[in-house]
Amino acid sequence: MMDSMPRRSRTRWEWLLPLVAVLVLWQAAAWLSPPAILPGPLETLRALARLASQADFYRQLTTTAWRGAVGFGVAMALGIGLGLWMGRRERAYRFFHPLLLLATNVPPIAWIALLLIWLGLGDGPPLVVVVITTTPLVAVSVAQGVRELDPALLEMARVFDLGRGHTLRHIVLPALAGRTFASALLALGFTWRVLVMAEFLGSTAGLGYRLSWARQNLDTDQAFAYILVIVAFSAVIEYGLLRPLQRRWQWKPARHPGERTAPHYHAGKIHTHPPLPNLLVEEEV
Amino acid sequence: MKPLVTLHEVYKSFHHLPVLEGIVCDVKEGEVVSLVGPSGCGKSTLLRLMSGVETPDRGQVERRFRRVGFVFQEPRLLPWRAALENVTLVLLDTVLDRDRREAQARDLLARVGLGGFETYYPAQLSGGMCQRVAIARALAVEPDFFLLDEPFAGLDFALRMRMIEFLRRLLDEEARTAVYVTHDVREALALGDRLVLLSARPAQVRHIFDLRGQPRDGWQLGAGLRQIEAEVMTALLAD
Repeated sequence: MMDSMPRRSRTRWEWLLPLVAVLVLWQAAAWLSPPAILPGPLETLRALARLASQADFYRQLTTTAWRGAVGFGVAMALGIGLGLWMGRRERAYRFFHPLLLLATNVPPIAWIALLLIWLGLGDGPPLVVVVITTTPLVAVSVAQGVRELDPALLEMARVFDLGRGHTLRHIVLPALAGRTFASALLALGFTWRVLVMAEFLGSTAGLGYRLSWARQNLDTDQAFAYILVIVAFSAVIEYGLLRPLQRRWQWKPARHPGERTAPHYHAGKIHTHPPLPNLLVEEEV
Repeated sequence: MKPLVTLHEVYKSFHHLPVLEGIVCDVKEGEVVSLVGPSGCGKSTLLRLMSGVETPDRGQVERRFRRVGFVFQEPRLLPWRAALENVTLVLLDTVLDRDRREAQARDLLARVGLGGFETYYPAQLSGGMCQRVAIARALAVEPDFFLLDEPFAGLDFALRMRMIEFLRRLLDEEARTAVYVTHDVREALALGDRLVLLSARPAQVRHIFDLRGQPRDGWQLGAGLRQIEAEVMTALLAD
């Protein structure tokens, strides 16, 4: 508080620090190894520029992006639907919960192996493995959120005749938003990882496929360039799309101590007193 | 005065645990009934039966009111909505125009002394202020029947008194009908026209006191009310 100016300027550039650290380490390691084993940041950028000048690169990028978007979208829809159902019906919860845990505990690589046998090369395995590995994450946390809905608020809704639509929109969805977004972020990370893995192991298109191709040809700089693209892509989606959405939609309780009570309150002759623990404030996920 | 709610020999149990046993009482139009009993005796259950969100196992609850305004023990406000939106919430279906809805909510908040706090979130308001948002919300549905379930139980003594006086004035203004549940005898005596004393669980009506015509001035109870206070206290202690 006392030195708020230097503090602010520090936080503004702070996010760069880990990136710089990685770059320095990377460059140092690259100096110590032959380029065919570990190309440095500059070689990687050059390889990336070379890739970016070819139409094929954009084809692969679109293929992976499309698979990711469809897989993630389907998983979110399925997960939220299933989660809502499981949260409301105890029997559905008892039936699906162990199955979902089982599905999460099967290594993605095992699914990929099976899916390659069943579906062959193509869009099938990457799409299905994304759906299989991320749906349970979303479903379980949405179901948990529904089960932890405050019954006191729901009774209030009933007493005031809010109806299903208003109850859903004003009570259920805001209460679930936090968990849903947290699980969506987690699911997105999973989507990318398993998607590239599936493409790497058995596909004829996509960034993962190109990565595998670069490995076979020992084009290490190209492999690095693809990895950079994959990481950058997920970072853009997470920080450019999901986090802003989360900030916009997710309710956060007032945390700043100064925000907790209204300071100048004299109207009606009733004065403020220390706030009671608010029983309705849900813990942040 | 016609009764707005009449309970005929009402029985209710939860998981074989009898909570209410043959409750007979009524609430007449324009009166405030204080419902007193030891903690956990089934007062809240009785209130929920009156409101209609709960149905009796046996017996009958006759309801003749149009719309109920419920104030719960906790504020039960939506933590993700500001004070104003917590009030407009119950008007969504009845007042379709958004500006009119907000104007009404603004008026109500001003009436409960919260003018200027429309944009505050529940976590930014004190317990007493939250409870007054809850009262504004109950007023918003233009109820002809109020149910208040220990609404000030969490507040300190002095604030509780002021809230009771505030509520008293509010109810007097339009001769509204209300049931006020409390385990605090003084609150019950300061607010009620009649006092229904319940026994420990399973709750039965032990006695109904008529408080009308007894001198009282806010918290200053006349001799008659002090006599009743002593009787109620003795009965509660015996339970």
